[in-house]
Amino acid sequence: MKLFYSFPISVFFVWAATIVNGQNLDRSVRPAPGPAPEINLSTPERFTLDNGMKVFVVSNSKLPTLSVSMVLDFVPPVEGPQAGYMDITGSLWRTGTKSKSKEQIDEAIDRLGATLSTSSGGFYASSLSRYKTELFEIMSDLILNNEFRQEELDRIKKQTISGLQTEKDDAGAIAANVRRAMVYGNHHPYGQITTEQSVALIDLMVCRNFFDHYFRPNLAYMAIVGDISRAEAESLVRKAFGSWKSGPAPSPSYATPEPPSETRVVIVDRPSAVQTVINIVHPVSLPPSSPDVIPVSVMNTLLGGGDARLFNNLRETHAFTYGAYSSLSKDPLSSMFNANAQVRTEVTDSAVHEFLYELNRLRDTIPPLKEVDGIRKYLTGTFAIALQNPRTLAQFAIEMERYGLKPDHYRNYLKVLNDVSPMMVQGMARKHIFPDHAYIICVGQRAAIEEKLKRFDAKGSPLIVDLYGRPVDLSQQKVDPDKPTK
Amino acid sequence: MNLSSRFACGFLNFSIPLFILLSLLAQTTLAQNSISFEQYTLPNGLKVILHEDRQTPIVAVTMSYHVGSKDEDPTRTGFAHFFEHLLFEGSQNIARGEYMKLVKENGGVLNANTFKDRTFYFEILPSNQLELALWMESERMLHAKIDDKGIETQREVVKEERRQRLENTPYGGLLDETMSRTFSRHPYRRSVIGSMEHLNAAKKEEFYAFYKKFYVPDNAILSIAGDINSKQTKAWIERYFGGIPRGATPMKRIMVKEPIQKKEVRDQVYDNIQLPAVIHSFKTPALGAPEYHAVNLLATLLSEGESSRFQKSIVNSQQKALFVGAYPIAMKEAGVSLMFGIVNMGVEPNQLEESMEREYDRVRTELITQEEYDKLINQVENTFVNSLATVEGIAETLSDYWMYQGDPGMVNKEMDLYRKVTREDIREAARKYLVPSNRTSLYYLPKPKS
Repeated sequence: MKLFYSFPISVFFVWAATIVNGQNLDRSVRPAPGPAPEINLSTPERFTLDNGMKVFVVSNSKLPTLSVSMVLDFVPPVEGPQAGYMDITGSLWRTGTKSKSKEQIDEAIDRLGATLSTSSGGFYASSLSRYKTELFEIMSDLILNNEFRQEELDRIKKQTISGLQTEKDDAGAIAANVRRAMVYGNHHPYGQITTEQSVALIDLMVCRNFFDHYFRPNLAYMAIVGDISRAEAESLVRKAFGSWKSGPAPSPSYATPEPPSETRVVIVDRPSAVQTVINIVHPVSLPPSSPDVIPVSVMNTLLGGGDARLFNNLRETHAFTYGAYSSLSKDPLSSMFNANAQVRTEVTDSAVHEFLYELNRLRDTIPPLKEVDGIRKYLTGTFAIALQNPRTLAQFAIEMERYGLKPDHYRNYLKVLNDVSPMMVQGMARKHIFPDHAYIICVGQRAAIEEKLKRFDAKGSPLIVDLYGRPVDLSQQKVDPDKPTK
Repeated sequence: MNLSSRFACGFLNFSIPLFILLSLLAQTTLAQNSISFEQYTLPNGLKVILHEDRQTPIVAVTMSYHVGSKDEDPTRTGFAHFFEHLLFEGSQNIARGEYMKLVKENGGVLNANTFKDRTFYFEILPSNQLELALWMESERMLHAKIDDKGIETQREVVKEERRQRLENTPYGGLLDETMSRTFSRHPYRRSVIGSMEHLNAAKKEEFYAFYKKFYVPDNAILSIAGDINSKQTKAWIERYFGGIPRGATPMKRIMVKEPIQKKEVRDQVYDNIQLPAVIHSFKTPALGAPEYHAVNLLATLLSEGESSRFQKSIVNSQQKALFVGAYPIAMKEAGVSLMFGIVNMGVEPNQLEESMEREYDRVRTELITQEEYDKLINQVENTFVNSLATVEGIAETLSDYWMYQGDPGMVNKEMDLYRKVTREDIREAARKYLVPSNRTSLYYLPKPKS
């Protein structure tokens, strides 16, 4: 057979004139897949303590390790002028107990070679399974006997303020703040922005108050995954957390954030920037129990998941960027649609144009079946890939419980996925993506981009904001800290 | 601060190159379990590793070429990485833009990354697509094809990658700035992503020569892990790779010996940052060389976990740093232990540097306790075991052992090497390597406001 190739003629450049001999291999024939493998979804073991804590166990002894994670299911409060206290409490509760100093706790964890990270909504720990007893003892002491100390709070505040300082030159961090401010504003928990001023106001009392109100076993979902049996897990959990007291938790409610009435361009000036960080954002209502969740994941993947439409347009066709993506995931309070890229300064307006073109194209035209089918197959495959991590099973079980999903939700996932049609994809785009009601946030060199971005702003005059999304008073060139962001 | 994800340059920006972590992760072995695998070499020189793990119906196919930035023409920095981008353009039988799509619509993910010594490609797919992945990798090796449009597009994409990683990210140029001063002659001194000027200059003909020289079976390792049938897999490998000819001429690599450093190199760099940073880069043994493990344990001692020396004394107690860490960078011909700290607000870089120096001094003079030693071994083991939790992690680990140390079986031997390191060895390593005369010191300072 012919395996001799001609050499560079005009457009095409061909490498390697090569003869493959000794076998009859027609290289133009693409291998067909074997029979589809069966995806096995086992159900985690579960039990509930008397105090209401729900525990899920996935036993898997492939590796001599285990992980323990806990998530607390609560609607977060609005932090107000002390914004940042939840995160700080998340660090603080690891730094002292009635019997141990921070140093002793750190030593106890590291001695095992373990990791333990805490947050405002739970913790994650992992260790070699031979140290499981010690690991549970540490976690129990931290949850039940924590003591918040002034010197530890002062240290964390100092670190936090230094961290905020470095973010002033980090375009990604700036964009994150501005989209929170624009989309949610400071009356919604997702719109909280931590500043040096707000950190300075945080005291032990607000941290203690938060911890005592929200760290309750009746809000807790624990996942124990790895080299451990259900019986062992249950006995360790009962010993460690059986005496944790349940209690009512506040359950604030918030108005559903609405997309803006018209599209606005929002610029943060970074004179030294060589690229513009572009985020096209707006709020979306997509609670985990919504039937839209799976079709939306097909729609978003087709638009901006990896090498998808945005990537092919902005990177592979126009070479504006290293990568262009979009995200939209479920959330009980509010989700955010975000189409984003970092592009060189000169092409900022062209890139925004292409973004809007792709968003509108998806809303206006039914995507080809072949394209949708490719995405369905991709999501089917990545579902299997995710399952190699046994934590995925625990996470599924917790989601079903938290959000009241049907028991067969994940068992049926692949079937539901395969029923997502091109028309449904378009429907999801029309329902959840609003190029005419969005904020086009651009963090970059204002002098080079503002004029060219005017045409995308409904008022023809982009909003200029500071690092925290607060309008910059143009006449006085200074920040007005009292002006609400929304 | 996630430094590791910044080190290597990759095709897509949503995966973390595992390789860099290897210096810490891949150097011990499982306590009870050992990793089983088959290894063999085809007549054309292609090295093959197969690891069977039937737990999940997926497979990771990886191809590692022994070519990295160290093999570049010094007037074409960034070439190996640029070339990696071009190898997603297609082949005789795969049209432009189809390579990524083929993997995706068959339920898989793919990516690649390039560092100083090697270029690494991988696909993770449902296991019934193994043959497709082998065909695709063989197409890439046998007769990759790009057109002018592909070259010009990727040239701009790589330049955007450079802007994004280096110029538009605080401290983004840290590794390049450090390596270029740490090595005076060795090609490790050169940037992986390359300079704008060199990226602009790269020509089509040069890609062709590079491809012919380095992208040959006798310069590559195919490592596969997952839900596979060994017999069938071998037959497919023979089918798709068996007929690919060896490189035309035996590989000649220019070995440059780095002169022994006699005194400290000091410099400063100005960047768009708010808080100054201090960097100490110590030259250390190459991957797998004697004392390599002791040097790694030294880095673990200094910065792994909240009770580590740096964290406990400099960050928590003295509160001089927002962050300070030790990063061993594992390479084939020489190693580097990179210490990197960002000051807390109001702290001068020399104050942070003094504190770092006190920690070097302490480990040079005092023997670490047995308790501290046991902690290090536990930490290294926990991290390593977790790195083998995925089939892609196993495939890459085995491949790298063969590439860097000539033996994938090191995966099951190296824990012993770690345990053989004594407390005295760690002190000796500190005395030998953690000294000012072996160091490049760099202050990262905020650009003066104009």
